[in-house]
This record gives sequence, structure tokens and C-alpha cells, in this order.
Amino acid sequence: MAGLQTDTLRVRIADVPVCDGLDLQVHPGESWCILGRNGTGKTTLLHTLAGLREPDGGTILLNDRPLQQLSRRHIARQAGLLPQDHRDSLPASVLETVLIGRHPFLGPLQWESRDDISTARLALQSVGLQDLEQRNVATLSGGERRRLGIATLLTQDPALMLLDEPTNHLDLHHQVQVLELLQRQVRNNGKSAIMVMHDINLAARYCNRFLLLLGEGRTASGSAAEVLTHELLERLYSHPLEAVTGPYGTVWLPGRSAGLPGQ
Amino acid sequence: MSVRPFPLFLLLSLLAGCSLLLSLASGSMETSLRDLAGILLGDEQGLAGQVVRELRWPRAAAAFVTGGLLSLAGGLMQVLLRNPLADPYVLGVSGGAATGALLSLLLGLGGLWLHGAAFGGALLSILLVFVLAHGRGSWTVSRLLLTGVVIAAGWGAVISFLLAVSPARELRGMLFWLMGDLGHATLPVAGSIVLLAGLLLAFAIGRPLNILAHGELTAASLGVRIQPLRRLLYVTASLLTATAVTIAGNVGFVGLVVPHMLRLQGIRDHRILLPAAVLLGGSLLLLADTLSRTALAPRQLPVGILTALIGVPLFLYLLYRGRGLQGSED
Repeated sequence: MAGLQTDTLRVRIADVPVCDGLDLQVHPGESWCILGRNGTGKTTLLHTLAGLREPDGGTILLNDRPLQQLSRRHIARQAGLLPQDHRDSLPASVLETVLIGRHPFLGPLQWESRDDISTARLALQSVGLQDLEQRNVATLSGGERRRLGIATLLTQDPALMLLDEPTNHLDLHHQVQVLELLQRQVRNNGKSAIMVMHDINLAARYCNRFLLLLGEGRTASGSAAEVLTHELLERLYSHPLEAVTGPYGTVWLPGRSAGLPGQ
Repeated sequence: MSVRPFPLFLLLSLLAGCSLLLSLASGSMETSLRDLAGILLGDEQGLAGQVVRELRWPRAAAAFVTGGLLSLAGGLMQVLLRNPLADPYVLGVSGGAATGALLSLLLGLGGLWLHGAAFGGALLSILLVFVLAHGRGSWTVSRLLLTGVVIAAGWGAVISFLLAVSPARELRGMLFWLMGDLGHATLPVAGSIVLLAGLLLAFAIGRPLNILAHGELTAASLGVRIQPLRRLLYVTASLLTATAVTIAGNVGFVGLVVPHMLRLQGIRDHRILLPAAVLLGGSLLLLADTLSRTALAPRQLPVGILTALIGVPLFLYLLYRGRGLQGSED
């Protein structure tokens, strides 16, 4: 099958299991969201799926081929990662940074072509950074840097997008813009996405599949109706939640922490 | 993207050419440009011709090659360690070389022995850091940096010890070596080959270097094989440094500052930056060496003093103008 598939995947951090025997099928047109508490291994799982880390058991298939047997360059042509957060220590301009997305497609001594540059400019435009092309990335704000990361990923143009908290540092307007942009990519261009998120409500609006990391290797996965249930979500965060029905469907509000006096 | 490579390399080549002519023409024996033209065309046989061909030319070539080696090594080291403060000596290569060189000076051995001992010490240090940084499998940048810095500190103590126990008549030679000196330099045949090989390699891995500068996770996810690239960078930068210190001792400042001078001019693509650094670093050291042997003639100064004296104000000026560090650029 096209897309990503895991077969009894086991991932651990030190001796703590993240998932144990995970079977996942990510098809084109699907946006997956990984939800879980801090430290349950969402990023580690995402890096494993990107082939940046060996799994502790089981197999991962990318377009039917075992990920461990593919070269880094081969993987990079089909799967792209938006890292959680990073700062550049050496100077580079915005355009130069976006252009690195073309790396997997260029030969060893080949230089970026006009086409590569226009692809990069288009990507900058789609996240609203077209006027900052020549700026040094060190001078960008956190949110601008986040959008730059998204633009780099769009320049790489992989069929599978792995995104570690894509809405980090973004204001409300840009959160929605970026998620809509990713949704269009998945819906119209037959891509798939797997993103780590902390906002259940945005996730529920823009993703159509969910993977809950419940801790100690337990997981739950499926559609919103299957896994975004009151019981599972409260268990996921060990926190009381309140479901409110609004114009966009169910919205989850956090309740007061147990043990605090009410008012 | 913002810097056009062609005019840049034309300008830098001009600078290198002028530095070379100036160096060949300067010295205790007056040589006019016209004499120089005659000598270079080979139809001038007198004493002037001999001085230029046998004394000034080998020394000028050694200065240029050393500056090129150090600048290239510095540029590579800064990407490897992802640290703008990295210089060719940060991982202890020069300390190992200095220990070897000082030992051979202490034993009264000069010439080839001195060069051999310096190169041997550098290789020992490279190997030591490489193996120790490996530890149990993980070869991370912070581990490499810490191992290198600690080894460098260790060499520092050994060097101080050697200086303390050496007889006074050897001290001057030792200090000159430690500050970087081209007084005993010969035509750098091996150095030129190493520089050329390093330059070709740097050019070939230029795009992966650009990507590695954005972080290892990003680079790995874009298909760069991080571990082999890091090892290659470490070994290459170290060997370039070892070659440079073998020629001229610990010439400071060039390797740290030359790559940054270019970065401050908006040159960030390593396929352009590294060859440009070789030209600029070579010219800078050549000019510094010319000054070091003429400024207080007949007394000669260690060239390391002059590299800093020229480099510090030049670098501060570029930093003060602040292009490329802050805000937008033209």
C-alpha cells in the first residue's frame, strides 16, 4: 500500500515503553494526530517513523518497503520532518534556509536551479514570509521561524509529512492558517500527515485519525468518534474534561485540577 | 544567493596577487616592481633574483598556504561544532603539535625533526580526541567539544612544563614557535597538496555542510548521513590544522576570524564561503608575514602577533557595520 505502515512496532525510551505492538496504517488523504502527556514519547515515536531512530521491535514500511533498508536520501524524498524547535547558530537567510528542502532531489555537485528557487519562493508565499526572503533567520520571531520550518517542509514536498507540534509559537490566526494549509495538502494533493499536537480541539478540527499514547506502551487509535471520547481523553491526560457543543462540533474544556478548592 | 560569486572571487584573487607582489618586493634589499618583473620572468640572475626566488618566494608561498589551511580548517570546524567560536585549535590539535615541537627544540633538534615532531604530536592529539570522544558508541558534538577542550588544556599544562624546564637559550625559539613564525619555512609542497585536496573536498560536500549548519536533526531528515559526514569533517579539519602548524607553528586568529569576515559580508553558502576563506586567509597571513619581517627590520616578529594586530580592528569594523548579523541586508 502507498503510505506508512507499522507492524507490531515497539518503541522504548530507556526502559519505558512508548508503544508495544503498534499496528498503524497511514493512507494518502489521512491526517493523523498523536496526542499524549508530556514525556510519553510522542517525539521519539515521530522520529522513529521518520527513520531517524531504530525501532526496538517490529517493522515500519514506507510504500511497502522496510524503512530500515532504505537510504536516508531515499526516505527524505518521500517523508519530511518538521522538528519541534530549533535555533540556527550560524547565519543564513530565509531563502537559503527554505532551499535546503531541495537537498534530497539534487545530485552531489548540483546547484539549486531556478525551478528550485521558485518552488522555495512559492512555499514562502504560502506561509506569508515572501517579504522576508533576504532576512537573516536569527532575526526572526519564534512564530516566523515556525512558519519558515513549514515552508522548508513544503519545499521538500514529501508525500508523508511528519510534524512535531506544527502550531508551536504561532498566534491564533497563524495556527488556523498553517493547519488549513496542511489540510489542503493532504486533501487535494493526496499526501498524508502525522502531527504531534497538544490542542485537542484544533486536532479534532483538522485531523481525521488519532493516535493516543496512554503511557506504559498502551495506545488507542482510530477516528474521532472512536477515540476522542470523554473517558479515553480524561484517562489520556489524567485530568477532568468538559465537553461543550459549539458551531464546530464538540469542544473539550479542561476542568479544575482535582484537589483544588472550587469557587 | 545575495552575493555574486564571480566578482567576489575576482576581488579576492586580486587581493592575493597584490599581497604576493608586495611580499616579494619587500625586504632589506630594495626590489622595485620592475626588477621583480625581470626576476619573475627569469632573466635576472643577480643577488636580487636569488633573494626573491630562494628566500622570499618560499616564505610567501608558505604564508599563503598556511593562511589558507587555517581558514579552511576554521570554517569546517565551525560547522562541525555548530559553534561560531570554534577555531582550528579548539580540539587540541595545536597543543599536541606544540608539545612535539617544543620537545624537539628542547633536545636541540631542528629542521625536519621539528616539523616531524610537530606533525606527529598533532596526529597523536587527533587520534586521542577521536577515540576518547567515541566513548561507548555515541559521538555527539558536545562530547567531542568537551573532550577536545580538555585534551587541549592538558597539552597546555605540558607546554608550560616544557617551557619551565627549558634552558633560557631555547626559550626564544620556543616562544616564536608558539606564537607562529614563518622564519624557517620552506617551499610548502606537501602543504599545497593538502590544501588543494581539502579545498576540493570542501567544495564537494558544500551543500551537505550548508544543511548541517541548520542542525543535525534537520540535516538527517533531509537525507544527510550525519555520522560519516561529522567524522570526515573532524578528520579533514584536523589534518588541515596539523599541516598548518607543522609549517608555521601556532599562528592564531586567522582560522577563527576569516570565515566570520566572509559570513558578515553575507556569504553563507559553504561552496562559496570555503574557497573564498582560503583566498582571504592566505592573503591576510601573507600581508601579516610581510609586515612581520619589515616593520621592525632587521628584527623579525612572530607572524602571529601581526595576524591579530591586523585582524582585530578589521574584524571589529566589520562587526560594527553589523551587516548580516542583524536585520535586513541589501
